[in-house]
Amino acid sequence: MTGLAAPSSTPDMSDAVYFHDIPAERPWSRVLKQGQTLRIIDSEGQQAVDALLYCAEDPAERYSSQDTLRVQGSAYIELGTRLISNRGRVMAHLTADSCGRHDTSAGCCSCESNAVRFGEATKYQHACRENFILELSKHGLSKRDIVANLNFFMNVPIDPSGAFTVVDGISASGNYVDVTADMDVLFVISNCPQVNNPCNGFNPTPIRVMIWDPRET
Amino acid sequence: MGRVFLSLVEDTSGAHDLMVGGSTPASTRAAFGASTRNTQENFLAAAAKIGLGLRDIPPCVTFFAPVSLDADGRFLWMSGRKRPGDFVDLRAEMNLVLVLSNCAHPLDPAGPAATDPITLIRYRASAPRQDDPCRTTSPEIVRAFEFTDRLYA
Repeated sequence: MTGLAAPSSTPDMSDAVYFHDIPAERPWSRVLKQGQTLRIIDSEGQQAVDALLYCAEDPAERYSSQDTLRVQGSAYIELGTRLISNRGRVMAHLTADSCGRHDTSAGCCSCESNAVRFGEATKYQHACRENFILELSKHGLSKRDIVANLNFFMNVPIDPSGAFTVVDGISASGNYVDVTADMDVLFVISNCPQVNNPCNGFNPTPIRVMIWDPRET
Repeated sequence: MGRVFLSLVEDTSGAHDLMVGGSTPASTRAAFGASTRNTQENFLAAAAKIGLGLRDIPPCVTFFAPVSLDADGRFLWMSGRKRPGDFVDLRAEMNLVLVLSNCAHPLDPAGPAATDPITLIRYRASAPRQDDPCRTTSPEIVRAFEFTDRLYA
């Protein structure tokens, strides 16, 4: 599932208008203007990156996993996938992908789900929902606004009965995905801190984000 | 919050969807060229009556929606698994507001013609036994019920 090259129009790294290394286990957010491209780089490999999108103008409009899968007719996020909002509009789409397959069914970890899945002793570990709550609070949003999310670089095969398992990541060091905004979107990331299953190879690591703007290159 | 809302204590169908979701204005326009009665608007209307709105409508479960998928992840509609008379019994494990929309699933090739009436019956469930299968199938479920029961301890 590797070998999908970035389109030749992908600009040079020196043209990026923004780049930032997100430390292991930490959240990040930024407004992507329509037409801008966000590259998420799995710097060290096998790192799940949980993501949520909100319409910058009216955050009641946000990413919808079910609308995205219905419009696409299939269950995985991959090159060309259009990320659809709960108002049926295209928020962004995947314009490059060197990994091959991403998830939008397995959700994000939380203290509460960790306690259910792995035992109450894990309840006080760091988790994606806490990251999302902290990051969303900077934008006047709250736990109520967290919806079913995207998991870039997370490998969750689904069988015909609907059963699915989080298995070893297929993403290698340096793999990346490019997301181009079709509207002004607030893009929120939790660099997943989970250590109880293989989604991060049991070792959360840093990731890099970069933004290109076609009007400034 | 790691708690159990409902248990399926009876299920003659076994074919329910959590991936594709209900119909929307966009899905009915794409399928029929016109926006027909749809689940998202039904949910919005129901949510508004209890002080909730668009931001409170998460992904939904669709009962009696036989969605499967092939090796590439493409969705398939298994029409043979949809039978008149099928039913589910849902046991409330906490106090809930349940919102239902009776609309054709977006993948149902029969479209709006597939929307027949449904029957709802509310009854007092007998108290679960110690070995209730819904409460004991896995360590995860046992813990989720522990967290739920604490609400009412």
